[in-house]
Amino acid sequence: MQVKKELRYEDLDLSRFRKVFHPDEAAIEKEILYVRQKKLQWERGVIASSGDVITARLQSELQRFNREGVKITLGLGLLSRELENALIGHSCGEKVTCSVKGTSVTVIITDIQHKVVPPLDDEMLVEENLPGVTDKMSFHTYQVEKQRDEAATQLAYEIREEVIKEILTGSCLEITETDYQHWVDLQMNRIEWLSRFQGLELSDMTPSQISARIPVSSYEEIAPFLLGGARETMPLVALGSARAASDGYTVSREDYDNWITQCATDWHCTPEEFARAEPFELYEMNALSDYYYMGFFRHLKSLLVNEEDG
Amino acid sequence: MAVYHATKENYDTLTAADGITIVDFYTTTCGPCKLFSRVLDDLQAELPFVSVVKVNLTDVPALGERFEIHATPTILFYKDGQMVERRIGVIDQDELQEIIGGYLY
Repeated sequence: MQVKKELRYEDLDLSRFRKVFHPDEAAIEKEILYVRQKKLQWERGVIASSGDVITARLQSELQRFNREGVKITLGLGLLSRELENALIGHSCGEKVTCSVKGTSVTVIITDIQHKVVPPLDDEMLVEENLPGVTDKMSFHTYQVEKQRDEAATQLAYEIREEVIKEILTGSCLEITETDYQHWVDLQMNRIEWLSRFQGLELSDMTPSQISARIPVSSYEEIAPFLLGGARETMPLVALGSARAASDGYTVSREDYDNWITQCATDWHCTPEEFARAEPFELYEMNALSDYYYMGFFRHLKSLLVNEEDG
Repeated sequence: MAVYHATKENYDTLTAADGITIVDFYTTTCGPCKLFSRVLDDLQAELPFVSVVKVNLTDVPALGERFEIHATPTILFYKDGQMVERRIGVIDQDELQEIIGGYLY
């Protein structure tokens, strides 16, 4: 596997993909409400209003509306929007009769719980434990940055396939069928080991057991599926290897050992056992592919610009 | 809404309660699980009478084996102590309320 010529993403003209970022203030208000609601209290209410949780006795010829001790959140419309609206403004003990789908329903409210959401204060924001957030201003800045990063990620996802295609068309990579097959063999070995950790033999698994783990439905479909993955991944491994070599980056054995230890904990096996599923060679290939892809993705994300820079 | 954290020992007691109980099987490193956890937080402000049982599969793998959980989040719905529905993947707030409403009334 070799890179004879690389068209670098830094050298591409991607100006056609540039986008201007606009913060979504309504979404930030929703985040503020989320923080406030963590401190919400329920208090006994006098008059039922939208959002209250009431307990009621229902009487009707309709079975759905003939029951005791029903809890209803007014305004959600989960029981009946017309009935819930009819109860708003009434108090405990009041008898309310209304028509639901042409049938009379009598309701006696036996309890009203009113939601009290406290106003936002800095203490609530500090409890959120968000980096750099100490007050309303820094919370707003944090949320804008978060939105910006999400929007940039979305943009990068949308254009990544088109840009990768352009890079591969302009590059010259030497990847043989043996290289692709080797990656498929490593992945097949991985899947077989992971299945064995779960007490299953891959070749004997039922279609539903297979499709619960891999997006195919039969043993015969696995190798072609993996080969498709190899054709997408190996060019990135090749580009990652070349870039790592020129940057002086090497995949760390120590990181691999730590990762294997973590996976072994998650899979409830020994690190030695998990290393048979995920040998260093496979980890290294994935790490090199990631090394290229992360840099590429960061570059795509920079195409989202702030209004003042747009 | 009461939120409980299940262990191998208390799972059956927690899910035996009257009314609607939602069981959320999750792992700490699963991104979609965090999204669904947020949906459950929002639900708390709307339907405080629905119980939520959270099962951290990293801590309680035995429950994952018992319920054959292969993907997270997996969500089980119980009505009056009986499991009535099983879903895999994030459910948004509107759909979750619709499912709960279907069993409540």
